[in-house]
Amino acid sequence: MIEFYLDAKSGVTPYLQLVHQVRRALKLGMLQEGDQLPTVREVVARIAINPNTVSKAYRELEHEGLVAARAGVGTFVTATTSDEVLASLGPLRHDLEQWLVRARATGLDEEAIEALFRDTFRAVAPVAS
Amino acid sequence: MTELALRAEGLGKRYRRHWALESCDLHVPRGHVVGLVGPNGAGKSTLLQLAAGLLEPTAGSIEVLGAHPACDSAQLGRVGFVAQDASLYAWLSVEDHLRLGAHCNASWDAAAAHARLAELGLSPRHRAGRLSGGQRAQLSLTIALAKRPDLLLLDEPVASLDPLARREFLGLLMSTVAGADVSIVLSSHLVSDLERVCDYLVVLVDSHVRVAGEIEDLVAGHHRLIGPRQSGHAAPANQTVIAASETDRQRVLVVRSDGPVVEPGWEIESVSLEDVVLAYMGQGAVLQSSLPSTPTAAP
Amino acid sequence: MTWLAWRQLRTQTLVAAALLAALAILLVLTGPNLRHYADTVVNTCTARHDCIAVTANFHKLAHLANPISLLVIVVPILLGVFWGAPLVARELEAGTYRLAWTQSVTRVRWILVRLVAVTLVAVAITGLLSLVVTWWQSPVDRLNAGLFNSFEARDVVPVAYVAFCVALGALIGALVRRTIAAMAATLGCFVLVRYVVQQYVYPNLLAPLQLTRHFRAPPVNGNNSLIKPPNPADWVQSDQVIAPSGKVLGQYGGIGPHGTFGFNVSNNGSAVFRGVGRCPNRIATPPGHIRPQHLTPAQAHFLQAEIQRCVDSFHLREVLTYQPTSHYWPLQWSEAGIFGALAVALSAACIWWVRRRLP
Repeated sequence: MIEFYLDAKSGVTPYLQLVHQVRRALKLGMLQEGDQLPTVREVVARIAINPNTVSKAYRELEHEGLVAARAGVGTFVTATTSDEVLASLGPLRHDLEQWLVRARATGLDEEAIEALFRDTFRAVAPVAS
Repeated sequence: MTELALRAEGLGKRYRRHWALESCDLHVPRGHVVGLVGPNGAGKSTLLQLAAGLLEPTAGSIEVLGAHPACDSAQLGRVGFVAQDASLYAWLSVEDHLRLGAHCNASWDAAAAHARLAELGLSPRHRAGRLSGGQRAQLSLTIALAKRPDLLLLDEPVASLDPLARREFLGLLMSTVAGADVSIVLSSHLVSDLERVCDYLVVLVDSHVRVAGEIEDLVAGHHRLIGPRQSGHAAPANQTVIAASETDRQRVLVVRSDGPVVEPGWEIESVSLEDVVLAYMGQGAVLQSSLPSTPTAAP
Repeated sequence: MTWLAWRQLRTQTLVAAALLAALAILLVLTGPNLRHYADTVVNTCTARHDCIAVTANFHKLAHLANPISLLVIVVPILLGVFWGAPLVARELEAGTYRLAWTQSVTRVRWILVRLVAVTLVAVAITGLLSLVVTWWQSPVDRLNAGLFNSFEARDVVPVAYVAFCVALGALIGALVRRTIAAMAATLGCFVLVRYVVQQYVYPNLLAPLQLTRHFRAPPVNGNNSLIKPPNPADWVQSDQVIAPSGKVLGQYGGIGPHGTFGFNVSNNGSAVFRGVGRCPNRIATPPGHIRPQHLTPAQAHFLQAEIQRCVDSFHLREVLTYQPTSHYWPLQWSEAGIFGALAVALSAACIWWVRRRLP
């Protein structure tokens, strides 16, 4: 079961934060197909936010085709990351960790590493698949 | 659900010489969690007590759920009130407070009330006077909720609570909203709390309503404009200046946008809810400084 | 709402009931003895010529009489101050009205039920107290011919007082909003109202009876003899000496500013009746040798006749104004009626104030 949190200072509107958290969880394989998302009531009792925010986030996710609401039962995950993508996450993470070690070893600070990553990320267009 | 949760027309309340609330016009729809924010002494408590029927207006009128507050037993049963500092009978036990509610209210969900108390870990035999501030607030809320009101009014319920107690209280409140069709009006001077839980905001400053509306609309409808500090530099046309400040090089305005923002010469930024509230709360001070376009009062 | 009213009243009711029970037990245990003594010994004392000793003994037995009469006077005031004044004032002071008035009970119902509950309990406590004390005191009262002596501590009057006091306390508490100040003000107002009613309303409540006869000079040797009321227990309100013109010359056999009876007699026998006028006749000297402090019966009789002749010429009247014992109950009900009506009026005012003017 995913546990939500709210970053009050992030500048991102709350419902989008929840949407991103679900997407991230899906991508990292922490949520699988058929998993139930916590009910609106459970979420708001835990993190004290407006229920409409949660409802809106769930509706957005449903609109994106990632989850489906079953009346009287709850909201369940429908989409999932494919197993191959999940499988490739491990080696990719490993490579990234090694790169970070090298970057730190050259003496770059956190901000510089982040800037380097962002810059490169933006510059390199996605390869058409 | 066509009636408003709260309607005020020219509402005013005077204590001897001082007007605690003046010329208030509000049309708050049902089904929202409404935040009432303002500095201390702005009139938040007065407005809530007027809505609960504890006070009578000196001027104007107020209607709650389509009827005059506290006009009869049925209307009282639809409105719940949680007072500041949780007014409870110090010598009465927790259990007896629930009995009080059961005997004094037509509809009373005893099972839910007891379940909630058990969840909170409140012992039924403790006298209310021996509970902590957070526990008293939770008991007060439990009593108000157990009669299944359509509207719940809370007067600074978390003001004297520590952060954990505050989070638990608001969590309980929100889970109630999630489960039932209830409107909430909650006053606070902490904007951060209100941002999390409210979707409608009323800003009260100096006994007047400065602005009221859905939070999304408020945030979308206000902007920060940054421009050079030149005396001749024209202030924007279809924008109402709410607050202004200056450095030696720059002028910063917070404006309410009555139309699309097309302002060459000004840098446009979006504002957070806290910025909007602070802008309105500082309005009194701004009115003293000279600006090309004069700020006007609330909508 | 009745649950809440009772719950708020519970402790004080139980305490008061316990105290009342203790007193009642004490009185019930000692009462029959007292009655028995009164019925047997005291009633036959004249035959045995030991009335003074027996009466003294009786009063020793009944030594509780004064304290418990005082109790019946004090209890209505205490209940009014301690139960009536805080009724509204404490809720306002503590802020608990914000809980009480936001349940599904209207303010009117809230104050009405609580006021009725407190009044009923106070009336019950006071009524039982008055009942027990009146019963216990009856032999004492009979012996003292003091039916009217403790009028406000017997029968129904204390009950009316307590209802009035509670209503007064509740209203003052609602007006003043501070418990301690309200308690003090209730005490003060109660005393004031009682005084006003006593002085101005009471004498006009039920017309007293009067007995009239021509004024008799007090005997030369011996004590004044005034008109006796038909029943020794009658309540004498006044005994006046009235001139033919209707002017009141004095009270209780005395005449003039110093309230005395006497003559200024000159050597030749002409006399002035002090405070009235010159006697038409001369006061002759009685025959025989006069030793002023030791007149013989014949001399006293002679002098008495001379004096009476003078007094008769002025046609003075002695008027005794009294409430007979038969007026006791009408007066009780009238007093109770006045204070009962005041209690109702003050209660209504309290309810109106709570509904319309608070907070």
